[in-house]
Amino acid sequence: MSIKLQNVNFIYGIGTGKEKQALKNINIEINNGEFIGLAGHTGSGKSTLVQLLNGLERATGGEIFYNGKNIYDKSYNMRNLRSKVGLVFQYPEHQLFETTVINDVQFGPKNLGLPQLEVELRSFNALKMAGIDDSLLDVSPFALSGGQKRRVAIAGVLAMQPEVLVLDEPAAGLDPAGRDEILGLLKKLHDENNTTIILVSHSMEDIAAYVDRLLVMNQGEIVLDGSPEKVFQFEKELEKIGLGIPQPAKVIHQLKEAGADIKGTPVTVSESVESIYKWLKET
Amino acid sequence: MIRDITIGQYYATESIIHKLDPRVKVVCTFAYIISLFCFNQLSGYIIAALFFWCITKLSKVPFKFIVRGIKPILFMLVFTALLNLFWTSGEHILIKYGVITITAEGVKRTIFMALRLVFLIIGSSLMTLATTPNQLTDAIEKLLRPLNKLKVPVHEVAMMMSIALRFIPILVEETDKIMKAQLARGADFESGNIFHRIKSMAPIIIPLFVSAARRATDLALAMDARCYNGGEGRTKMKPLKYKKQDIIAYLIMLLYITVIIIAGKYLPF
Amino acid sequence: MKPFINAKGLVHEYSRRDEEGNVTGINRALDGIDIEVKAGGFIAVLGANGSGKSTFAKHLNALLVPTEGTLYVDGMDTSEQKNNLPIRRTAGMVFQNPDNQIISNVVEEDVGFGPENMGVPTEEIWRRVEESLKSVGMYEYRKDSPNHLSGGQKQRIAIAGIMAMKPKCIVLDEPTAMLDPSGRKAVIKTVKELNKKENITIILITHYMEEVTGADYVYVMSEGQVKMKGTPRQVFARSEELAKYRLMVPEVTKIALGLSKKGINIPKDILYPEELTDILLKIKSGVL
Repeated sequence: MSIKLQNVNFIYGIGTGKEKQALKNINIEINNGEFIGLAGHTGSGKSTLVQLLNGLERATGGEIFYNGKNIYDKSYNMRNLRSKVGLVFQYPEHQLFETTVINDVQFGPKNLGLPQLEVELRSFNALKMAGIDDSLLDVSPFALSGGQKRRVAIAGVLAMQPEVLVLDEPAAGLDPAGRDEILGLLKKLHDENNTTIILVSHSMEDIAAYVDRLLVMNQGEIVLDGSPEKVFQFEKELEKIGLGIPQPAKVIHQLKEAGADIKGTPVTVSESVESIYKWLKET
Repeated sequence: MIRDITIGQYYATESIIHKLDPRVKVVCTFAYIISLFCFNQLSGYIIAALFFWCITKLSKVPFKFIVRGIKPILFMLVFTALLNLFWTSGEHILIKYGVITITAEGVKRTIFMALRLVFLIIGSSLMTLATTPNQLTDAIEKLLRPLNKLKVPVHEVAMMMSIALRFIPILVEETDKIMKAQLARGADFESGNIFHRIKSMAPIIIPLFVSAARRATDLALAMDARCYNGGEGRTKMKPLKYKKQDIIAYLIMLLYITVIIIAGKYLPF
Repeated sequence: MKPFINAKGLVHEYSRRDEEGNVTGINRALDGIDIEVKAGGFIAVLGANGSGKSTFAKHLNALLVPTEGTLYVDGMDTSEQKNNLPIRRTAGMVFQNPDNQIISNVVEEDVGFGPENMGVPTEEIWRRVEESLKSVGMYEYRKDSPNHLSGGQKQRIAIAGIMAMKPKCIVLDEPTAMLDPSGRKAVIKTVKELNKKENITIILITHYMEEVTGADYVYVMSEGQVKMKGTPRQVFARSEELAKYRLMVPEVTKIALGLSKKGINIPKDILYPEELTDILLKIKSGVL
C-alpha cells in the first residue's frame, strides 16, 4: 500500500495570463503506516500537494498512483479515493454544520452509503478516539469550546476510516495543552490502527516529537526528505526558507559547534536531556 | 469555477480618465446611458460609438477587458435579440416560414436594441475598470448626500458597500474551501434531482453563514476599537474636490449630449 | 507615579440565555482581576483558551464594561460611557484574525480609517499614515490590496492602523495565533520596536511562551483569575505550575529542568537556546 507521485506538476490559473506554478516536478513515495511531517512556509505548495492526494485538485502534469493504480485513469473511482485518503483542512471546525455532534460526524460515513448501524458504530468509535465525552453527542457542535470543535471535526473524517489521514495544521490556534491532545490523538491512531498520517505544519517543534519522516517544501519543490534527525542538520538551509529547527536541536548544534562531543543527533527534549547528561558526566 | 466571479474589477493604470473625480465618472456614465435612448437611427449609434472609442483610448484600458463585461450577459442579450427578431411586426416581410416571420423592421430593431445593450454594458464596465471600488462608494456617498435630509442613511449604505467589496473575495475563497472540505467528507453536490441538490447545499451554506456572522461580529468590534462612530464628525483621507479637468469633462459630456440630441432630430438616417 | 492601567477586583459575567432570552446561567469570565501596568512597559498576559484573557483585553479597550470592580486606563474609568472614545484613542487594540479587522481595500486607506473617525484633518491623516506604515515596515505596500498580503503583513497593517491613532498603549489579543513562524517573528519584532523606540505601552495577550520572553512582566491567567505573576524568568521557573494552567515553557527551559532533575546544578529559568548552550559549556568546563 502506498501513494506514489511521479513528476507531478501543478499550475494555477492556466489561461488567465496569471499562471503560477505551485508544484514543480514532485517525486515521492509514501509508504503504508508512515508518520510523515510535511513542512514549508506559507505558499510553499504544501496545501496544494495534499489536495492532490485525495483528488480534490488535479495535477496539471504527472501521475499519482494509489496502491499501484493510476488515479487519473478514466475508470478510477475518485469518490472511493476520497474515502481512503481522509483530508482534514486547516481550522476544520469551520465546516461543522449539523444540529448535533453525532449527526455531524455521521455525515461522512453516510455519504459512503454504509448501512445505518455501521454509520453509527463508526461515528461513536471516532468520537471516542477523538476524546469527546458521550454526554456531548446530542449537543450542538456550535456550543462546544474551540478545542472540542476541532476534535469533533477530526472525528468526522476519522469516522470514514481512511487508510491515510492528511491534516493541514491541526493544532493551529490551540493552546499548548490542546495542541498536545490533538497530536497525541494522531500518535494513538498511528500506533493502534496503523493509519498512515501526513501532518502538515510549519511548527518544527510539533513535527519533531512525532514524525518518523520529514518532507520540507519550498517554492513548489521538495527540498529535503528524511528523518527529523537528518533534516535538522540543515539548519541554515531551513532558516533561509523561513523555517527554523526546534530549540533542542538548536542547542545541540551550538554545543557541537563549540566542540562538544555529543553522541547522536537528538531532536526532542527528552532525547536531548539524555545526550547532554551523558556528555556532562563524561570526563 | 467559483473564483471566476469578479465584482467591481479595477484596471490599474495611469490615465486622465483614472484621475478624474469619481463623481464625474458616475454622472457621465449615467448621462451616456440615458443618451443611448435619445435617438433611433444609425448616425446616433455612430456618434455614440465614436465618443466611446475616444474615451476608451484616453482611459488606456485594453479593449478586451471592456468587452469581457458582455460575457456574463451574453445569454440575455441573445434572448432579447431573438424576441425582438421574431415578435416585431412590420410591413416588409423578409422571411416567412410557418409561424416564424421576420420583418425588416424586426431586423433593424434587433440590431439597434442589441447595440444599445452592448453600449450600456461596456459603458458601465469602463467606469468600474477606471475607478477603484472605494472611489466609487465615495462618489455615491457624496452624490446621494442630499437624500440624508429624507433620513436615508447614505453614509452607512456607502460604508456597507465598501465593506462588502472588501469581503466578497474572502467569502468566495472561503466557499471554495468549505466546498472542498465537504467533498473530502464524501459529499456529492452534482447528482440527484433538484430538491436533493438544494438539500446537499446545506453543508456549504450553514458554515458559510456561521463564518460570515463571526466575521461581522469581529469587524464590528474592530471598527468600534478604532473609534468608528458613524458618519458624523468624520474627516476624509481622500476628500473629493472638483478640479479643472473635472469641469472640462462635464463640458465635453454636455457637448456630446447636445450633438446626439441634434443628430437625433435633424439627421436623415 | 499613577499606574497607566489599574484593574481592581475586576469581574465580568456573561449571562447565558435560552431562545426566549431568559437568563439560564451565568459565566464568570473574569473573577477579581488586580493588575497594574506602568506607562511604557511591555506586559504579557498568558493563558490557555477560555482562561478569560481575551475578555480582559476587551475591557482595556472599553469594548466591555466591568460587572464588578473598577478598571482605569490612563486615569479614565472604563465604566463611564463618555470615556469610550478617549480610552480607545489611548489604548488601541489589535485582534487575532488579520482579515476581520481590515476595513478597506487599499492598505493606506485602512490605516487612515482610525484618524478619519477621530476627525483628524486630511493633511495630518496623510502624515500619520506615512509615519505609521514606515514604523511597521510596510510603507512600500501602501497602494496594495490587503487581500494580496500574508497574514503577518496584514497584522502589521492592523498595528499601523492603530499607530495612526497615536495611542499611548497597544493591546494585542493573540495577534500571532493565525500566523506562520516568520509572520509571528515579524509581528513580535515590530511590537518590541514600538515599545522601545516610541515608548508605547504594550499589552501582549498570547499562549505562545516564546513570545513573552522579552516582556518586562508576565501575568498568567486561568479560570478568570491571575494565578501567577512575575518576570518571565520567575514565571518560567515554575513550569509544573504552568502546566496546571494548560501552558508549557519553551523547550530549552524544559531541557534545563530535565537536567536539573537528574542532579545537574543548572538554573531553571533559562529562556533562550544561546543562553542554555553558554551555561552548559561553562558547566562542562567547570567554570560553573
